[in-house]
Amino acid sequence: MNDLRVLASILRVGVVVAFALALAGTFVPGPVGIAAAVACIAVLVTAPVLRVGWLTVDWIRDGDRWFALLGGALLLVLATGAVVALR
Amino acid sequence: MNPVELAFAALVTATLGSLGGLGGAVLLVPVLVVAGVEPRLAAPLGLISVAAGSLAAAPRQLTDRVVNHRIGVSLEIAASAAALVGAVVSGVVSERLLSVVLGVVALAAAVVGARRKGMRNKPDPALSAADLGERPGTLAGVYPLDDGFVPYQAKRVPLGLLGMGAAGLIAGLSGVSGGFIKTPVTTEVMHVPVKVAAATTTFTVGITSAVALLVFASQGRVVPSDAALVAGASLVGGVIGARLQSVLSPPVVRLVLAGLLAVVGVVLLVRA
Repeated sequence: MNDLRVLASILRVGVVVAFALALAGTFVPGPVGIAAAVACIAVLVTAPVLRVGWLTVDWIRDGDRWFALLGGALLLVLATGAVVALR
Repeated sequence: MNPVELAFAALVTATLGSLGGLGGAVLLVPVLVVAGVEPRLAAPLGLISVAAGSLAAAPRQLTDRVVNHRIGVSLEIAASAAALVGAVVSGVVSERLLSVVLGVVALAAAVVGARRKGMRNKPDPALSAADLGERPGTLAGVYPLDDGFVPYQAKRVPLGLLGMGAAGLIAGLSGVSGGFIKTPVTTEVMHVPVKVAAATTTFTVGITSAVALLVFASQGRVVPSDAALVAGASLVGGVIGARLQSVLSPPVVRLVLAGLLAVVGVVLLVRA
């Protein structure tokens, strides 16, 4: 089983990166600031999706097939959402 | 609303949202609307606040082993699908109607928050730290409480899924996270301990927000500079809220939130 502490560490890095981008998006003027703000939003959107992906892989490795299937189904719903949003 | 006020509102609502497992949008969006921000622009800012608070609270809640990912993922399928539908049709909903929906939602959240009960699951002396966490293949687990270890098992899952669908629809439609529905449903309907329910909801509202945010972004409803400001303040609020969650009494927090929600709900309804 993957150690949840590893996932926690990865998410902690995500928090720091998102915060740095948010600061840049707030205080840096012009296109750079806008790009930082958009990148910050991208981090916030992708972080929970990657977390679900991590869990799904973890459950597959554990042989927890039912929940791995549910994790895959959730990723499918999220992918559908992305397709609808970007259409 | 000037940037300092916006940042302060996001900080406070994200702190309270993470603290009570309610998300922050149900507090932030009405505050923004009352302050004069258009509801169609306030909604995405609310979801950014929720996503940021969810991410910020995650490391601590994972380390504390209070999140049940299996329960979260199972319920989130219904919530995310419904959020997608809600977000797609939200652009055609009038601002007045949206204000009424938000007002009713805030009042409902206040009632639910005020009526929630205390501990249903008790510590089991036979359990140890080795038992902590989720039980593979089930919607059960063990979480730490003071010096003891409390076992739990999710019940009435189909009813819980229905509640999550309603929460997701409201999330997509109004731009609040739906956490104020998810946490009560998880605790009162499914009999999951409030601490686990709050942490699990904090995880799932991040997912719901991600889906709805994509839709809002594609509709051009996200203002980058405001979004960055709200995200930064909410990240700080999420960290503070997760820390406070482990030291404060949940009933006290719920009552404070219920009072805030009641005021916001009445203001919105009068304004609409």
